[in-house]
Amino acid sequence: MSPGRALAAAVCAVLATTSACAGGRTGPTDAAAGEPAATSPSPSARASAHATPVRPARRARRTVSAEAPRRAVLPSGRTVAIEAIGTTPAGLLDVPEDIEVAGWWRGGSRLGDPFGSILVAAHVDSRTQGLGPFAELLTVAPGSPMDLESAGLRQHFEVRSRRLVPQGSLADDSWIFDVDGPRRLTLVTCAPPYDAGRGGYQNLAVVTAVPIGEPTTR
Amino acid sequence: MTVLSLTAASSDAATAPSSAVTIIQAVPGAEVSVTVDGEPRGDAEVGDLLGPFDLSAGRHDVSFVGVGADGEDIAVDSTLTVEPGGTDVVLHLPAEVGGAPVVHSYRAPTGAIGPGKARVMLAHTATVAPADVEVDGQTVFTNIANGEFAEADVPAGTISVALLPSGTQEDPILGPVDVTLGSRTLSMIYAYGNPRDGSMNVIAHVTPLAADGSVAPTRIDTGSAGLVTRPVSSFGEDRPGPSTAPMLLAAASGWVLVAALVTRRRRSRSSGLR
Repeated sequence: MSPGRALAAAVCAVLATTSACAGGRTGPTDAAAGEPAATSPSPSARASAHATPVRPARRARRTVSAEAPRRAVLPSGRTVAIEAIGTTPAGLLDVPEDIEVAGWWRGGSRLGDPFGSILVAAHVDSRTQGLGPFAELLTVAPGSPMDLESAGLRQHFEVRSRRLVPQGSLADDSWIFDVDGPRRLTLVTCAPPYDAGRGGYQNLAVVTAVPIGEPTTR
Repeated sequence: MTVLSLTAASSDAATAPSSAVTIIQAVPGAEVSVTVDGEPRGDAEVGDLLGPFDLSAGRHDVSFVGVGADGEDIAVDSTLTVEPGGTDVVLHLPAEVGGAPVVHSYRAPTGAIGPGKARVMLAHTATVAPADVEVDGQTVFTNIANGEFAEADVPAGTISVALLPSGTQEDPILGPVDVTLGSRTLSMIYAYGNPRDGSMNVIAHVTPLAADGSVAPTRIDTGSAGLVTRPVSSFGEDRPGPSTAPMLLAAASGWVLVAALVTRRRRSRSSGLR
């Protein structure tokens, strides 16, 4: 039997089995679930006399558990706190008002996730606080190193690109926040020109940094 | 091309019992009767899922009695400590050839999940040394030993998965094969069997996950003062190009087709940022 044929046979066999399982899930299972869970001692003396505990499965040792980013260390060495943010009912990313604090979109990828964009955004300036730390993204050079840290992990990154995205709908720029594609850090802030009559800054500066190596534990 | 399409079983997520225990038989060739607290819960061949059963928190006796592939008796008695949430109890073989079946429990990582994502828990319940797992050609889990598991949130859609001997890039134990993961689902996948006799296979237990409430932004506004006046330049590739992770080998494998054959490869994955 060719491998392909063997595979097909196996697939069909299991398909049948699994379908039967799925079908049975709502029938017999519900009947069983409807019964009170047995709490009386097992009628099988043998079972209780020789029972050994079910071993809880172990988490594989070298597997990273993804975590929300908490801090970014920018290429200049400046550290910026990060808080988890969502979007407003209007669809605007809810970036912290404080320009010293960046926001990580909690719907996106986390530090340690194998795929997708870790989106971190901060205001470039404010009337009361002046220029913010993310202003350095406007002049950062390719290859600049930076770090992202979570409660237990640290990941080293290197800046690869900066793209200017015109202010407006991100419908055609979902790459900024996609959970799809290679793992990456996407840093966003505003960029000139500034036109007060047209809502302020006319561009977003989107800096993409790629991970160097794997996350390490802190 | 084989595609493992995983669909959540039924739509009873909202009414799922708080302690849902599913019993899974992953010993090739064996047929066992399962009892919980002395009460028969059904017979299981390899690949069968019994349940989920709504068990109260605390200790329960779980027994497997039957006949193995070589005709020898199987009798595994165990006590399971049930905690709230979903738990899979899996009868499987140890890493060494000829070892007696063992039982491990796997708690379902049921935390809410963001849009467009799927969660995968992959457990090593096969007669084989520690393994690495590649997803779309990238090593995602490393050095998972028999009885161990790893989990990750990945983009929903079709991914290419392969199981390789730990530390190697060639001669997959299993796959690579396309696996279709539904958005906001949890796929608990058990790799079992023995690559030396071609019996490697998987059992998948798929359940829905709650949404974490995240909604993708349609707009980002990050400045108000107009203090930046110097023009900003661009560099690097300005946006990700299409780059489908290459399918390494369409090697014959024992992966299971759980729900439906889907022959269409997912939309091209956005990729290639460098």
